[in-house]
Amino acid sequence: MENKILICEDDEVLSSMIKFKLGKDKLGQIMKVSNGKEAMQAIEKYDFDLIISDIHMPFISGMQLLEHVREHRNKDTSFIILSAEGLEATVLEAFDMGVTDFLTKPFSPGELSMRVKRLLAAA
Amino acid sequence: MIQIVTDWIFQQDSKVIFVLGLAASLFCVSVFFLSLIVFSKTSRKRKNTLRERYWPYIQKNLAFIAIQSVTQEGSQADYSKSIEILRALRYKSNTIAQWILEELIKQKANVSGDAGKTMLKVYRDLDLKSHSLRKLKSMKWNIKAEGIHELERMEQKEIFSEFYRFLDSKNHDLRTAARMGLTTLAPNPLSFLDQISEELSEWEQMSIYNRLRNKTKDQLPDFSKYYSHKQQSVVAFSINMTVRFNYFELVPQLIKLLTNCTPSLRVSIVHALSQLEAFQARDSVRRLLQMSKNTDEIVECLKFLGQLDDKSCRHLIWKFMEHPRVEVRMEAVNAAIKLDLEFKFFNTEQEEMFLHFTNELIS
Repeated sequence: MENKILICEDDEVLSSMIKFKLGKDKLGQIMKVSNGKEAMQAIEKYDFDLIISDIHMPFISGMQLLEHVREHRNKDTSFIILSAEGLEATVLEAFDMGVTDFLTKPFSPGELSMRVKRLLAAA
Repeated sequence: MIQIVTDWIFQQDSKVIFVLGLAASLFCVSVFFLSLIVFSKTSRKRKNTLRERYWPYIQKNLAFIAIQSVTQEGSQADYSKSIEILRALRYKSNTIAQWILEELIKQKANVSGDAGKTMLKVYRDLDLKSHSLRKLKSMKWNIKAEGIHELERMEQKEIFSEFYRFLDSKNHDLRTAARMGLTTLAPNPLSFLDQISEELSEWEQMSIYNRLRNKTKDQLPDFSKYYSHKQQSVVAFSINMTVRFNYFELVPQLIKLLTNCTPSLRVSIVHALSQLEAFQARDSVRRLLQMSKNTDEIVECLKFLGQLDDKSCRHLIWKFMEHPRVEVRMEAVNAAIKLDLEFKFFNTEQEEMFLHFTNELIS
């Protein structure tokens, strides 16, 4: 069965870049949303194998989304946080909340694709 | 008509003239502010219309180019077509050029690798460098600083010399922008230090350090070159960098500097020597400790001596256990414990300090 991946990123250019890269590498069925509210709706509707979310988003942050997924949805869903700040406290907080991976911007889309491949294979 | 009005005014009482003048001034001021409000609203509306109209094209074409770069799909012709559209938009107005530039800077901060390089290529192909360079000629300091930031973020190494003239600007933000720009773009990242006479603020020191961390060791300068700089903040910064980048080979120069500088710099030097574990500085630090009257200096010297595996300085350390300043007494007890010296407690305070530091060491 094909993996379901959700990209939550308010930057249109970046989210398109990620979507096409993962799509090209045939990593699964990819859906993208541009804010936390839309992400919540998508999560309620579908069961995703992987969620890639920016830490700062309108309405609901990436951390709040992670908290919601871990508390109310499938605990096994892999979760990658993208962040422009690599502050130790933020990274530790994310891992404490159950994030699977944390990527600091700027990142290479190729590297993200490799990490996604590895996570999906391990799941 | 004018004659009639003038005659009428001269016939009036001074109070009436005053009230009339006041009313006229108020009227002029309100007309001025009203025009300002109308102008700003119109210009905002114009900007919004412009954005609604052209932003989707900018985003679509930039996204297309970015996707091409990450998927390695699409031909040169596709790229050229998108660039042509963006170029047409870029020359339509400065506002649009600025939007494209801001989006490129944003994407450059988001992605690295090929995608990041593509953003630089788009910047070059759209000749946005000239847009940023024009800002350096502006009369406003914030526009100049913005231009410097843009050129720095888009790695325009060939224009670094343009920033030298702002190094000692009266405006702090512009000065900082120029200094940071030169740290990033100049072949020798600290060459600008030779030309500054204004203070290097703590924020600037931290920001320069952050930029130096991205350089390879062979790109780093010889920090000892700045030990004799006329600006004390530059000397303090270069001492700090010596430690941060573990320049053990500069220890002899640091020891030499110890005899020829201000107390605050001496504190930084002894701290640096401690951090570098430069135990060959033992005699110099001991001499300094014997002569010093400055509390910070004494504390730093005691910290240094506490690190040495040498009990020969115990008499000196004991002496400071009776010092009038509590921070000195504490550091002396701490040093004595670290050196595992046998000592008698002169009073209960020393005993308490001893217990405190021993517990700290155990935990």
